[in-house]
This record gives sequence, structure tokens and C-alpha cells, in this order.
Amino acid sequence: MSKLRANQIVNKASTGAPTAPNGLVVTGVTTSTSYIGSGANLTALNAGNVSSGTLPTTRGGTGLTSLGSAGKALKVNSAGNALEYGDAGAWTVIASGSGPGAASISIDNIFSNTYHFYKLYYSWAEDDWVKARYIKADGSIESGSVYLSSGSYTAENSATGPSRTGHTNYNYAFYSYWNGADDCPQMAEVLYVDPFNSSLETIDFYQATNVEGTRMRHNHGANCNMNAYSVRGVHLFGNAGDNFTSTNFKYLVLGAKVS
Amino acid sequence: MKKATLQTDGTWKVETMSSDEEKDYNDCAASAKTMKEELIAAETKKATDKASASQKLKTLGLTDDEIAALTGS
Repeated sequence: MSKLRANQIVNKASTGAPTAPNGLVVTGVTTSTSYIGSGANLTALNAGNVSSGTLPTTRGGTGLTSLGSAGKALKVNSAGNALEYGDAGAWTVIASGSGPGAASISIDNIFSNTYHFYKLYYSWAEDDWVKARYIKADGSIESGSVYLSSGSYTAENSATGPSRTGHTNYNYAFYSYWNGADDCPQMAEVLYVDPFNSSLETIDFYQATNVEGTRMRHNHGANCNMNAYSVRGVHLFGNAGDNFTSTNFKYLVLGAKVS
Repeated sequence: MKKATLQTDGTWKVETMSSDEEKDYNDCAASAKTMKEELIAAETKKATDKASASQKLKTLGLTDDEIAALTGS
């Protein structure tokens, strides 16, 4: 075995790289300014050393170079030819959380032109019930005698019900119509249709369940603002001065588009 | 009495109600109380009337099943 000792190895003309027709076995680190050739047999590649380029979907990547916003999902775009970050599923979370410690709360800026259907879910562990008013596009709360409502309820262990209730020209709407309890949260689901549309009256329908001791009630109904204008949120308030707090009140607002 | 408004960043802005807002809250509570009392009174009267009518039907000779068939109860 012989050893070649040289500072530089060049081709015969000293103008380029020499050819190694049978390959070259290097023990140690090979340093190069660039590399051309097949990487078919490279092993122990560290992805942390990849600092440029984008791995396409055809190679198991995303074809993307940045992360989407919080809460967004990775999905196939509408053209069906690439991935993108966006809303996923039929319903999108618009807002959620708990109560702030106040007797009335405005769940504001939840309605827009983005979605057609909206759902509000809430639970409130209080011996109280929930009334509602719509919040106009300018942020003011509609407190005029504009609400039309109709509902019915069933009851167990109560002298009242099943029966109906309804009101015209009231200055509030109704959601969970009977008292809940501190240890048994009343719960309600409210559906709104296109509330931000300025040419439509805002309408909702709801169902709610309330339990006081052994007395259980289930009520459902609908409310309508008999004036057409944009509504951007909903104002909730109780009937006995009880607060919506971080421990007794939870809410979730969802939106869905119509394709 | 406090009121709160949800902000665009998801936080609540909590403020003290004005005297007008607090009056409005209490006025709504009062009207709702009256409305519910009227509703419960009407329902109670309906139940009382139903029991009275059933008793009169029974006096006329109808069986409990026949009265139930008539009243839907």
C-alpha cells in the first residue's frame, strides 16, 4: 500500500477535477462547496441541517413554507391541488370562554358576513334564567320593544306545563326560560341565521334545559327582532342580579358557511 | 352591578352599569317576574279546572279511562 501526499489533486491539464473511475473511499469528513450526484445511499441525514427549499406534497411534505394561524387546520385547498391552512369541518369556533364576573355580558363581534349559520352554546350554574338582546352593528344594544318570541316547555315534578308562552313587542328575548341551579347548570343551544345581513330581520331558535331540585324543565322556542338591520353580537342578562362568572358560566360560538 | 363586553382579543371589558342600565336590568326583571307569575297562575288554574271537570264527569258516570280519553291525560 502506498500513500499519496499532496496539497492539491487536479486533472492532468491542471484545469479541472481528476476522475476516479472506480470510486473513492474517504474515511473522515468530506468537505465540499457543493455536491452533484445521486443521494440514493446517503444515511443518517439530519433534517435540522435542511435550511432551504420546500418539501412538496408529492414527496410527503406540505408544499408550504410557514405555519398557519392558531386554531387553523391543514387541509386541501378548494382547487384540490395543494395544501393550505384554514377552517376545517362544517363548524368553526368563533369565540369561547367563561364569564367575566358581571350581571350582564355582551358577546360582541361574533357575527359577520363570513358565516351564514351561527350557534351559541352556554351553560350557567345559577338559580336564575337568561334573557337576551341583540347587539347592533354600531355596538349599541337593542333595548326597544322589538322582540317577538314564541316557545313551549315541558316540565316534570311541576304543576306548570306542558304549555306555551309567547310575547310581542317585548324589549328582550328569551333563552333558558326557567331557573337553573348552582349545582346543576342550565344549558342552552341557540341557532342564528345570517344575523349580520342588514336586509334581514334577525331570528333565532333555542332549546334549553333547567333543573331545580327534582323539578326539570325543557324549553324551546324562537325570537325575532322585527326590524331588519345588521346584528353583530348578543347581550345576555339574568333576572336576579346573578353574575356570569369564570366558574359558573361557559360559552361557545360556532359559525358555518353555506357552499 | 357590573356589565362586560367581549373584546376582539377574547378578553372581557368589565365596567360598572350606569344608573339607567341598572334601572333597565331591574325593570326587565320586574316585568319578567310578573309575566312568569301570570303564566304559573294560569297553568295552576288550568290544572284546578281540569281536576274539577274530571270530578264532574266522574259524577256523571264516566270511568277514569273514559275521562282520560276525553282529556288526553
